[in-house]
Amino acid sequence: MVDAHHPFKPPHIGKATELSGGDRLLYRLLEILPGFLSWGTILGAIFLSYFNPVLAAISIIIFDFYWLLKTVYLSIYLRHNWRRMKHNMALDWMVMLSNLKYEHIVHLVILPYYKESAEVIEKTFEALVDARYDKKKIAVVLAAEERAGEQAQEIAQYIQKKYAHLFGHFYITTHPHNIAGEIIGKGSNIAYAIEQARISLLDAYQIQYEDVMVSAFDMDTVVYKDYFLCITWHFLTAENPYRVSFQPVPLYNNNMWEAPALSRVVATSGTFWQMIQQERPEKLATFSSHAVSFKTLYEIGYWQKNMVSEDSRIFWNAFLAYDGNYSVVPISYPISMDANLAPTLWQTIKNIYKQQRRWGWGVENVPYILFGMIKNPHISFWKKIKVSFVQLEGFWSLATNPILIFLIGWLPLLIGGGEFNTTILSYNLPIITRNLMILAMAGLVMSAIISLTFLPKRPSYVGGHKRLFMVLQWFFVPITVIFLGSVPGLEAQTRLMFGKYMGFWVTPKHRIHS
Amino acid sequence: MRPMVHKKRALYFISFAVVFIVVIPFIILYSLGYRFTKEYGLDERGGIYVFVSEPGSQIFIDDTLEKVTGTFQKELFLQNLKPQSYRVLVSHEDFWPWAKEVDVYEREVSALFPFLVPKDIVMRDIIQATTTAITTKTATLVHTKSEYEKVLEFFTSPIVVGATAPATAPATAPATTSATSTIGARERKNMRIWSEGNQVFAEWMGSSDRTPPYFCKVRVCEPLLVVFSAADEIRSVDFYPGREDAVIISVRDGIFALEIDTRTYHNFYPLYKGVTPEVRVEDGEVYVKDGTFFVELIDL
Repeated sequence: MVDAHHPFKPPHIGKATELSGGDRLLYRLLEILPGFLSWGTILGAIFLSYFNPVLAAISIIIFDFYWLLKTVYLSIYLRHNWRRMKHNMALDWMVMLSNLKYEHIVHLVILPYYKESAEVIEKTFEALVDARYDKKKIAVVLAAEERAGEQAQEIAQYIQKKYAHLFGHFYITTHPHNIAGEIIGKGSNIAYAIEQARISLLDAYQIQYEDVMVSAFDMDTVVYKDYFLCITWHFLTAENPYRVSFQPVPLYNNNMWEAPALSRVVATSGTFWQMIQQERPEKLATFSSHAVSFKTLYEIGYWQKNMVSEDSRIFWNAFLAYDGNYSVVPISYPISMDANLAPTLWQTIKNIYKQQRRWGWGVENVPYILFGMIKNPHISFWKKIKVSFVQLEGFWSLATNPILIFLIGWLPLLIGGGEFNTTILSYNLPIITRNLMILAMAGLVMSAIISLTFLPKRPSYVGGHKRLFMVLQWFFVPITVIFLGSVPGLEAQTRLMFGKYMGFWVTPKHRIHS
Repeated sequence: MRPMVHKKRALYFISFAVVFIVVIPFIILYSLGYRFTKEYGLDERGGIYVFVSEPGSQIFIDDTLEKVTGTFQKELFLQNLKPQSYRVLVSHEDFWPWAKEVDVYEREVSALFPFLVPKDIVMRDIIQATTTAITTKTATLVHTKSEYEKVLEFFTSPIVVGATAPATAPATAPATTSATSTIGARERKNMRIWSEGNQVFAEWMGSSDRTPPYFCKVRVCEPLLVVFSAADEIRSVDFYPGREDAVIISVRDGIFALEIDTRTYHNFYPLYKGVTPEVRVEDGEVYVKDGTFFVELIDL
C-alpha cells in the first residue's frame, strides 16, 4: 500500500456509480465530457454546414491544412523513433550492462491466460527461453482463469511440464470466478496473480521488492532476445526507477504474414502511433505489454480489478499516487504480438472493430484522471491543464478527425444550399481538401517503407507477391481510420457518455500455420 | 540513442506553427477567390465550370481551347477569371456546336451544362402490324399491344402529368388570345414547361436559392420565363430526354430541340423535318407523328 505519510491515495474507481453524492455527480459529468466534445464537434460541423456553409468550408480547409502539417510533424517523430529502434535492436545490451551490477534484478513475467491454444502459449514461452538473461532470475506466472474450464487447466499443466524447469521459478495461478467487486478481465486476473507471486515467491524467497521488475504481458506477447537486458539497463540507469514504467514498442509480427491487409494496416498503424509517442514521453502512458517495478506496483495496490483498460490505468494510478511525479520511459525496443486474425475475413474485421472499441474504451481513464487531479492538491495547476488537454485532445482526435476530414469535409456542398454552391469557395473546397489529403497520404510511402523494415522473415508457405501487398495495403488507410478507428472510438465514448459501461473482451488468437 | 531532445522538438513545433500561421491566410484568401495583384493589392476573381458528358468534346473559353474531355475527365473548372463576360464554346465532331456567353462575378462560379444534340439523327419507322400479336402462356391467351398501338395511344391520350398550366403567365409574355390553346404542362424535377399559342414557357418551382441562373437578369430572378416565341402555333412541347433544362417542340413543319436558357446564345437545333409533325417523349424515347406516319428518333 501507499506509504503512511503519503497525503493522497487514489481510490480504484471504475465508474461513477461506485461513488456517492457530489463525487458521483462530478465523476458522471467527467464521463460525459469526452463524448460530449466529440459529438459536439461532429454535430456542430453538420449544423454549421447547413446554417453557415461558408464558415464551415473555411473551418474545414483550416482543419485540413492543420491535419497535413500534423501528419508531416508526427512523421518526423516516427522516423526518429524508427532509427532509434533499429539502433536499439542492433545494440548488444549485454555489453551495455557490463559496467553495471544487475545480477540481483529478478524479472517477474505475468502471462494472463484465458483459452488461448497451446500453440500460442508455446510461441510465447519459446521466445522467453531464447531471451538472453539468466533464466534463474526469471520467474514466470501463468495466470489462468477458473472460468476458462478444465481444458485450459490441462494446457497450463502441459506448459508447466514442458517449460517450468527452464526458469528460476514457474507458477500457475488460477483466478477464481465471481469475486465480488471485480469485473471479468485481465486486470483482475493479473492483480490476483501478482499477489500470489508475492506471497509464494518474493516473500517466501525473501526477494527484495525493489529488485523485481514485473513485465505484464498478453498471452501472445513474444519478447525479442535482449528484452530483459534492455529493460534492466533502463531500470538501472533511470533517474528514479520507482517513479517510472517502461514501455516497449508493440509490433504485431507474430502472424503478420497470415493476417489480412485490413488487419495489418490497423495493427501497424497502432505500432506507428506508439513509436511516435515514444518520442513524446510526456504524452505517453503505458499500453498493452509493459514493465514496472514490483515496489511501485505494490505501493499503488496493483492493477485495478473493476475496469477494462488496466494497462493504461496502472500508469494513472501511479501518476495520481505520486502527485504527478510519475512518467513512462520509452525503451524503443520491440515486443511482438498477434495481429487480428480469425478463420474468416468478416470475423477478422469484427474482431478488429471490437479490439479497437476496447482500446477506445481507454477513454474511461479520462474521468478518472480529471477527477483524481481535481482531488489532488499536490499536482501543479499547469501539469493538470497539460495532462487534461493531452488526454481530451487525444480521444477527441481519435473519434472526430478522420470523420471530419473524409466525410463531413464535403457536407457544405451537400447541405449548404444553392447560394453557397455558386461560390468559388464551394468549388475550391473539394479541390483543396483533395490536394491536401493527397499530400498527407504521401506520408504513407514512408509508413510503407518503415513497416517493411520490421517485417519478420517471410515464411516459405507465403508467396513472394505478398511483399507487394504489404506496400499496397496502405491504400486502406482512409477506410481503416474511419471505420476501424473513429467509429469504434466514438462508440466507446458514446457508451461512456450514456453510462453503458463496457466489459472486457478477450481478442481471440487464431493461427493458420505453426 | 535517446529520444529526440526537447530543444529540437521545440524547434520543429515552432517551425510548423509558423508555417501554419503564415500559410493559412493565403489558402483561405485563395479559396475565397482573392488574388494578389502586382501592386500587392487584392483582386476578386470568379470562375467558370463546364460539365460535358460526351468524351472528346473541346471546350473553348474566349476562343482558347481549355480542355478536351475524356471518359473520366468530363469537367472544366477555370478560376482566376476577372469578372466580365466570357464566350464558351463546346465542339464535338458528332454534335452541333454549343455556345454561350456567360457573365462571371466576383467570388462566384458560373456553371454550365452544355446541351449537345447529335448532328445525324437516326429514325426508325413504326409500322402498323397486319396481324395482332398473340402469345400463349400457360394455356391462357394474352393480347399484347403492338408498338404501333402504344405509340398511337401516346398521341391520342391527354397528357396526364401536370395537366394544368399555371394561372398566371409571366408579365413579359405577350397576351394570348382566347383562341389560342394551352398545350398540357410537363414537369421534371423542379421545372415545369408548357406552351400557349406560339410561345413556350418554363417555370422554376424549386427553392429560390437554387434558381438556375438563366431565370435571372443582373441577379434578379423571376421563376417564369418565355423560352421561345414562334411565328406559328406550337403543336407540342416536351422535355428533351434526360434533361430538365431543354425542350423539344413541334412547330410548322419541323421538330426542334432548344434549351430553356435563353441567354446569348440561345441554342436551337433541328431534329426532324416533315409536314405537320407532333412529338411525344415517353420513357426517354422520342416519338414523332407526322400525318399517319410514326417514327422514333433514336440516340438523342
